[in-house]
Amino acid sequence: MNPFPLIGAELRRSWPGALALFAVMAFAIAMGVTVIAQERALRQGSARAADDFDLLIGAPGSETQLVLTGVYLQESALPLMPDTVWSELARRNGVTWAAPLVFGDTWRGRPVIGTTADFVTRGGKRTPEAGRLFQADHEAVVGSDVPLAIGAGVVTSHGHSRDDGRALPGEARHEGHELIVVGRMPRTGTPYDRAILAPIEAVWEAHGLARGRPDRDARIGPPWPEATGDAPVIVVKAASVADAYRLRAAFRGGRTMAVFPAEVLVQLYGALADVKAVMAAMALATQALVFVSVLVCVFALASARRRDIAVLRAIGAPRAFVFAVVWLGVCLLVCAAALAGIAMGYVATAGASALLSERFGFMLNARIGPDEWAMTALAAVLGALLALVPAAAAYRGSVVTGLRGG
Amino acid sequence: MPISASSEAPPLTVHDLRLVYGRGRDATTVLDVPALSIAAGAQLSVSGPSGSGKTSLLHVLTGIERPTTGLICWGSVDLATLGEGARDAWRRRNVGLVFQDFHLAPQLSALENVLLPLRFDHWRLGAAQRDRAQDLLDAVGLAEPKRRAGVLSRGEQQRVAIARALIRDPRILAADEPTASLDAENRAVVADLLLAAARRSGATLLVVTHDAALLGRLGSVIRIANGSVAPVEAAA
Repeated sequence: MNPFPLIGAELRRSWPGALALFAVMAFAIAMGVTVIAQERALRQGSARAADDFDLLIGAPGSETQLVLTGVYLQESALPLMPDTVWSELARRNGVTWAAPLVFGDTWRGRPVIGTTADFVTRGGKRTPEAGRLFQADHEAVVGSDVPLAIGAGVVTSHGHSRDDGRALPGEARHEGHELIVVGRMPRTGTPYDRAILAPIEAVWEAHGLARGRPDRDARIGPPWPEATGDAPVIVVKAASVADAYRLRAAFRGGRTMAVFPAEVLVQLYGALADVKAVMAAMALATQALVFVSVLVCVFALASARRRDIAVLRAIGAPRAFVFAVVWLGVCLLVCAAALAGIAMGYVATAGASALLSERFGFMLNARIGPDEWAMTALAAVLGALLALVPAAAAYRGSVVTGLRGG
Repeated sequence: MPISASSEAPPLTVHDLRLVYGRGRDATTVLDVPALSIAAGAQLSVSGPSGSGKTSLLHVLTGIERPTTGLICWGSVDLATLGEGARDAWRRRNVGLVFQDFHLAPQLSALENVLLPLRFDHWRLGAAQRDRAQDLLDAVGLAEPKRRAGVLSRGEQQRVAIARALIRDPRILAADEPTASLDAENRAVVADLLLAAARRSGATLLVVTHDAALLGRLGSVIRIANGSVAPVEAAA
């Protein structure tokens, strides 16, 4: 038997209703898909941004804030550590590389971070995409998203500056401490793509702090023979997992705290998972409501078609044929809605990810994963199962009554 | 399933047929047919006032409805003993039905409407089957087989319905008021087509009608009043 020509005709005949059912089902599925895909994109994007940060050392305070500022460059006034912490770390074994970070300066809204060559190259693993690394305290390299050409001069400001480059009232421009852009780093998909990386000595000097060397010594970078300015964050790459735990233990408590960003993220993801659970439950409830409404509509439609069904039976259609016409018709709608829902969910996730990437600074990859497919397949299977009810009703209806009524 | 010329129509023998709705004191006798016998290939009409049970009789004789008691033997098959699925299958193989209001699928083309009964047991239709449907549409005089049934005139729709009834070469052609919703000109055409089709294939033709012109052209009349049918013997 082949019920499809008749199914096609029925769908064409009631296309406004069929289209409406298709649209609400697709929308409900898209909502579910978006919630799941967006949560994963957020989790993976933020985790990837923290990949290079094994261990953060900071002055005692909020661990979460240390991660948010050190990894995601969220503006905040972190407490500072004296240079003795750096000296102590420099004496330790098991450190592949370590670098202090200082924040607070900006250029047209973009953060200027004072650090060392080790951080910029991640201990030699990354090289500039264009130009070279900074080699003097008036040079800087920029992240891939900073609109500065190599050779451009930058006058940074203390605190937040306006996008047009003019200082806000009460904020100081570091005149006389111009930086020259000498290199551009490749894209990382992290907030550091928006940052200008300057030698830490340049930032210390601009703030009138000790730069670790006598004035006549123009070299930059550690080791620093003399006193230096303070730093809020030290990034540490440990030689091994055991070293990482040992270092964390050594710098935890007392004057410093040591944090695995991954651990802090796990806590944040816990909160995120709760939000996701609530939203996923809402999306599921929406889907359930939608499918029940679809069922009611299909039922109403099937009762309106009682006479057509009776005629089919009268001219000899087997029950299976009548069942297939009703059931496969709904299944077709459900499957089309599921596919459209996946597509719409992907588009929504891509849009939201683009917006959130802009907002958070790290890359969110919009992707439809197995969870989304599973949820959509589940919705499609449930829809197909629910459609058995009106199909069975059509199957059982009396031909004589159907021919008389309607 | 053969679609070429069918074998000879079976004769019909009815005994003590009763169709009763409801039970006990609420029971209503809808049909009471002590005896009815129709020769193979006979052409006859069922006539009587509205509500007399004409359509019920047609339903019972074509296996759409099962009688409460009695015997309905088309050849060796007693419809009264068959379950619903078996009666559907029997009807599919043996009966072509035409309704007062055509009951075509409005979104399907005339040709697809004619082919629909073949789709009940075929996934793909062959060229021979399509040619046969086209021939039937030619025979009923429908010029545009690709047009949607919903946009055809009433007369055209009934012609398509007749072609649909004939596509499986039924041995019994049954029509319920086939001319009642048509104008005079189309009434005559539809009557011609039904009679000619039955004559050509040798099918038994059963027509419920109160159309005097059509009544006059059919061999015998089963008169029905209040569900009671006087004993009839109709010859071919």
